[in-house]
Amino acid sequence: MIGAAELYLGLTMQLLLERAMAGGTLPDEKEAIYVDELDRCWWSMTENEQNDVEAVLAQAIDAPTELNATDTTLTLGTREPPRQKAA
Amino acid sequence: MFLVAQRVLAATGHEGINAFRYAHAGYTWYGLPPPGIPDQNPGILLEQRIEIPPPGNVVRSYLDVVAPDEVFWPEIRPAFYTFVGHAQRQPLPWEGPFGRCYFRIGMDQLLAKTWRLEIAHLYRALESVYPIRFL
Repeated sequence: MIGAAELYLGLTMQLLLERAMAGGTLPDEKEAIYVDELDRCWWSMTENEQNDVEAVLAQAIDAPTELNATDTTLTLGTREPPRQKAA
Repeated sequence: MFLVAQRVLAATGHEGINAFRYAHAGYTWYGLPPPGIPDQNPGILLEQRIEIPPPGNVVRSYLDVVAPDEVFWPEIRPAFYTFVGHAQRQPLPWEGPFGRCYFRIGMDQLLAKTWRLEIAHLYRALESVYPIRFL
């Protein structure tokens, strides 16, 4: 069972991806569908859930300085992994 | 199936996203993939889109989707959104199953400042090697 907060965060991600894939903006009618759904979701949350979602959306995501991986030579039809740990 | 999109940085300073599609014919599963998939057994490479020719480029970010071969975008897409909705509370890298899909996302600190946009770029690259025509 997905709670309203998780649904809201998932919808936010979906909206951003769709905008990016459409070259930056979505047609108004499509954007309006998301806005309505996000709105519905937002008002179905408790105040605590709303605060939690706002905090998640505002926070910077911690990540490693670098991934320490390099890519590998690949040939169609073979079974080589696409990357490996850097030497 | 193993879908990979990874942003790589060449020694020349050029940067781009390479994407790959592998298949695991004969395997099917739910949730976690069988042991060895994808790291020891990435599958057979069927398709690739190369912006920066390998090898030896530094990997700056990646988005991996592991799923049985018969899983298509209408199943991957909502699972992915839900996965990211959950994962974004945690520091990167992220990985975990949702439904029949297993996702892995990683990126360096600089890219993580605009992580949503980076994921969108990687996701779009994945669609180029596993397009809708496979539906």
